[in-house]
Amino acid sequence: MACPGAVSLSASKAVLGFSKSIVVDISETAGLPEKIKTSYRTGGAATPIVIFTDPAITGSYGRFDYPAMKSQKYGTIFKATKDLINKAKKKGTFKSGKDPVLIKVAGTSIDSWKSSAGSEIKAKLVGIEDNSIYLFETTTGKTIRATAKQLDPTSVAKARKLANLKDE
Amino acid sequence: MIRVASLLLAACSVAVAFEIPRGSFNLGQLEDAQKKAAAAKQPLAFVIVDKNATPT
Repeated sequence: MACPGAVSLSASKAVLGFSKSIVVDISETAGLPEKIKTSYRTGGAATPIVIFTDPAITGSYGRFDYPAMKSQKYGTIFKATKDLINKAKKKGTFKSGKDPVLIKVAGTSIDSWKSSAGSEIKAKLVGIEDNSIYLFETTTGKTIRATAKQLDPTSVAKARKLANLKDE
Repeated sequence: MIRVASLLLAACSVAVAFEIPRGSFNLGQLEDAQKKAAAAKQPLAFVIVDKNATPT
């Protein structure tokens, strides 16, 4: 019997052969892009769940949950999705571009920000993307992206206040 | 029957942490993953897992 944990591991390796994969823990699903969140909530809830989309995240090309993947015969399991993607590429409906809604936050200074795990960074808030991704710039110029789930609630509230956004 | 069920449960409970395969991204790296997928003309695959589940 293939346990969900074993299928999670094999599925996350299998998709790497033909896609860029983003591994998301079930505790982080609130931070998923809206279309993926909708797809995630539609259908069986048994993890692992694999959802294929184009780089612009315009829709879903396939959704597979644990019962659909427990045989671990991924060549067969993902074949229809691969065919669908190839057809979309030929038709030009496979979109690569993305137009994120970015709220820039100007004039902020270096501040202390806390993660939900308790670690702290010194950085300045530079923007909030798609109302869900918090963008920080460190003193070394490195950009850090964090979801609300990855941040401490007080840091989220502080960031949203700086961006003149309502609380989530 | 109960013994078989217990055995299966035990087999699924060996505590080994879920390891994200090399080359995968996390949700905070979404934009980077999108750029790389666009450049490679590949799809994005969101793999939603319970990282506490054990890969036995």
